[in-house]
Amino acid sequence: MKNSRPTILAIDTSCDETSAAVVQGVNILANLLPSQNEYHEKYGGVVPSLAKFAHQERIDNVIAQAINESGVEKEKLDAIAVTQGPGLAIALEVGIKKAKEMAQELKIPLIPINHMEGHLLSSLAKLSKNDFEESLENVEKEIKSNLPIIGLLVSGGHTELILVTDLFEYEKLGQTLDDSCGEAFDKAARMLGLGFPGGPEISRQAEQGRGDMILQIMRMSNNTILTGINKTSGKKYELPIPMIHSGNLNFSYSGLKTAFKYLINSIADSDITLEKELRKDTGLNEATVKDLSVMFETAAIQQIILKLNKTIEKIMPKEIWIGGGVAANPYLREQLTILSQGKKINIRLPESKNLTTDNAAMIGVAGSLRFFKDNFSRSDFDRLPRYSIDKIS
Amino acid sequence: MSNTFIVKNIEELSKVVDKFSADLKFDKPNLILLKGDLGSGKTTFTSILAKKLMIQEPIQSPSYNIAYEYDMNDSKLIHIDLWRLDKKDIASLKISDYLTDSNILVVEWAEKLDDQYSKNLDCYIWEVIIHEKSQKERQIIINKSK
Repeated sequence: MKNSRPTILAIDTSCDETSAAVVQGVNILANLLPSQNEYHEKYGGVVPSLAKFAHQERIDNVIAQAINESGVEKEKLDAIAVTQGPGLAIALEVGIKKAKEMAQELKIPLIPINHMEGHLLSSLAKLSKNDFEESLENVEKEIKSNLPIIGLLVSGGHTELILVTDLFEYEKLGQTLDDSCGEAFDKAARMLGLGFPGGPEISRQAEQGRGDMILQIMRMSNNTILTGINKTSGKKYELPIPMIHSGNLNFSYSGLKTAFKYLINSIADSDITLEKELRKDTGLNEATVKDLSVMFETAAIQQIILKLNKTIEKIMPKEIWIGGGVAANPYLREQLTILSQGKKINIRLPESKNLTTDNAAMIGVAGSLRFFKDNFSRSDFDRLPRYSIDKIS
Repeated sequence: MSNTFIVKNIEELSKVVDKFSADLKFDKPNLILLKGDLGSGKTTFTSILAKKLMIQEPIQSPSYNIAYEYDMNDSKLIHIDLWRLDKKDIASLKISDYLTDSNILVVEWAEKLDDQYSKNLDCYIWEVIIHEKSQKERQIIINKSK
C-alpha cells in the first residue's frame, strides 16, 4: 500500500537561507528559517548569507532543530527532499551534499526538488500539527479535479506564470524579462530611503496612504499610465504600467523602476523649497513618501493583476496558486480576492509568511507528493543553478 | 584605452555594445566591471551584450539570485550582481573561479569590489561606467585596463 502521509525531511539552501523542515504529507511539523525573527528569538541571531561556509556552519544545527521540533525520530523518516535548483551553485551544493550523506546513513530515498515547484505547491501546505491530517490521495484528487491550474510565483528572485496541466506537469506561460517584482519593491524602497529589504515597508506606507489617493489607470495609445492625486494636498503623480499591451504573458519591472526614480527626483527638487519635516536622505516629506509608496505598489501589483486577468481569459483555470515572498503583500491579496470573486475562481495563498519566502517546508510538500506517487529520479544528481520548472524530468 | 559615448536611446546603446563586443577577444576570459547607479542601465547593457553573443534567453536581473550562467558555444556568459551583498559575501563568491576558458563574466555593482581585486587575474578586464545625464541620456565610459 502507498504511504499517503510520508514523513519527509526537507532541506533548502538555494540562496541565503539555510532552511530545514519536517513534513508529513502536506502537514508541516517543523519549518525552520534561521534568518527570520522567530528563529532568532528561539535559537539566537543568524545573518542571512549565501556563503558556502555560512551554510556549512549552520546546516547540521538547523536540521537537528527541525527534527527535534517535529517530534519525529530520525529513524522514522521515509525520505529526504532537497532543492536541486534553481539557485546559487555554492549555496545549493551544501544542502545537496548534506542530504546525500543523510539519505545514505539512514538508507532512505533522496528526492531532488525544483525550488520553483516548491513555491508552486506552497499553498497546499497545512500549517499546524493540529490541522486536519490530509491524506495525499485527497490532495491528488483535488488537484486533478481543479485542472487546469495557474501558478503565479512572485518573489525577490522570480516573477513567473505557470500552467499546471496535470500532477507534476508544468508549462511556463510567462516570466519577467528583466527585474523581478520583489526586487523592484526593494529597489523602490531604497530610493525612498526606507532601508533594505524595504518591500514590506513600502506596503506599510502604502496601506496608510491609500485612502488619501484617487487612482486611475488609463490607456494611452501603446502605454498604460497610472495617475494618482492626493485628495488633501492635490499633488498629482504618474507612473507607467509596462507590458500590458505586449501581447504575451511576460512581465517587466525595469522600466517602472527607472520611471519611479525620476518621479522621486522631480518631486524632491520642488519639495525641498516648500515643505518642512523633510527626510534628510531623500528630500521627501512623510506624506510624499506615502503617496509615492501607493503609486509604486499600485503600478507594480496592477501589472500582475492585469496579466493574471489575461491568463485567466486564455486558460480558463479552475484554480490559481500563489507563491513567493510578494504573496504576503496585503494589496496583492486584496486585489486577488476581488479577482477571485469576480471570476469565481478559487485562489490559494500560502498559509503563513514562512511559506512565502524561501523555505524547506514547501520542498517537503513537493517531496512528499513525489514520494507518494513514486515520481522522482533515483540516479545520482548534481546542483542545477538554472533549473527551470518546465524542465523537470 | 578609454572611450566615451553619449547615448539617447536603446538603439544608440545597442551600437555602443556592438562596437564593444567586436573588440572582445576570446583567447582568455573577459571580466567586465559594470558601474553605475540604480536604474542607470547596467542590466540593459548586459542584456544587449547577451543578444550579440547569440544568447536566446531573456537576461533577468541577478540582484537576488546573485549569479546566472548562460551557455554559449564553448564557453559561458556569467552575470553577477553585487547590489545586495556585503563584503563577507562578496569575498565568499570567489568571482575568479568563473574566469576560466573563454568565459565572459559581467559584474554589476563592481564599485563594491576591492580596487586591488583584479590585479592578479589572468584575463582581459573592461570597466564600463554608466553616468545618467538625464532620464533618457547616458554617458558610457569604457576603459580597457588589461
